Amino acid sequence: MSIKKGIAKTALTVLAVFGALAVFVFWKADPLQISEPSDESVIDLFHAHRTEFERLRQMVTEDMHGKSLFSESNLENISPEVRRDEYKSLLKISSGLFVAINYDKSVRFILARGGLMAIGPGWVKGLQFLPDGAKLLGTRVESLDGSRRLSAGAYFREIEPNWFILYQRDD
Amino acid sequence: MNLWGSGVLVNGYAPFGAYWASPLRDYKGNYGDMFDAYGNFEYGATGAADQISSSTLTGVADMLHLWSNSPINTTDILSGFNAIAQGGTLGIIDYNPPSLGSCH
Repeated sequence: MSIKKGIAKTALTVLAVFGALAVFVFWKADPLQISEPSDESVIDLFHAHRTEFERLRQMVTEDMHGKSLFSESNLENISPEVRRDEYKSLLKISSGLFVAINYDKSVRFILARGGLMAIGPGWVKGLQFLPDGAKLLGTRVESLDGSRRLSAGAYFREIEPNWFILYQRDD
Repeated sequence: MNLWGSGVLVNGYAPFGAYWASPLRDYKGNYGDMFDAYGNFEYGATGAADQISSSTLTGVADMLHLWSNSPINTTDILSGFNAIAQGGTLGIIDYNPPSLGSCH
C-alpha cells in the first residue's frame, strides 16, 4: 500500500513539474497572443504619454552610438547618473518596455512580445517612430487588432505622421 | 560572444538557453526582420564558444519551428558556429550603411 502511495506521489510530483513547465512555456511563447494590446490601448498610451515617448526618442537618438537597446534592465554604461535615472523614469511608461533604435534613426517601442527564444518564432507589438526620409519596412494596414490572422511580416498602422503602431510576427 | 568560454559566464545548456530566451537577444523583434540572420549567426557563434555541438544548436532551432526551420536560418547558425569552431574571432567596426531609400 505504502509503495503504491509512493509511486502515486512521485507521479503527481512529476506531473506537477511538467504541468508548471508547460504553463511557463505557453505563457512565454504566447502563441495565441493573449498579452497583445489592442490598437486602442496602444493609441491611448501614446496620447497619454506623447511627451515621454518623444523625450525617449530624443535621448536614444543622442545615445545611439554607444547603445541601441534600452530597457530598465539594460541601462549600464549610461552616464551621468541623472540621465540614467531619467531613462528609468521614462521607461516606466509601460511595464517591460524596450526601446530600440536602428541606424536610420527609426525607433521601436516594444510594449508586448511572445516567443520562447530569440531564434524561434515570435511576435512583437508596440510603437514605431519613423523619421522623415526613412523607409517603412513593412505593410501599412488599417487595423492591427486580431493580427494573428496576418501572415508573417511587419505591419504598421499610422497614428500620426512619423508615428505608427507596429506589429511583427516571425514564423 | 567573447563571454562564452572565457569564464565570465557559466557555460552549459541552461545558462545558454536563458541567455537566448532574454528579450535582449530578440534582434529581429527589437530592430526588425533584417536582423534575423544576425541573431542566428550570433546564436551559432556563441554556441560554439559554449562548446555546444552544431547539431544540438540547429536541432533546437528546428524544434522551436516545429521541425520546419528555414534552411537559410540553419545556414546562418552554422556560419556563426563554424566561424568560431574553426578558430576565428569576431570584432566590430564603425560602418554607415547606404540609405535604404526615401519612400515613406
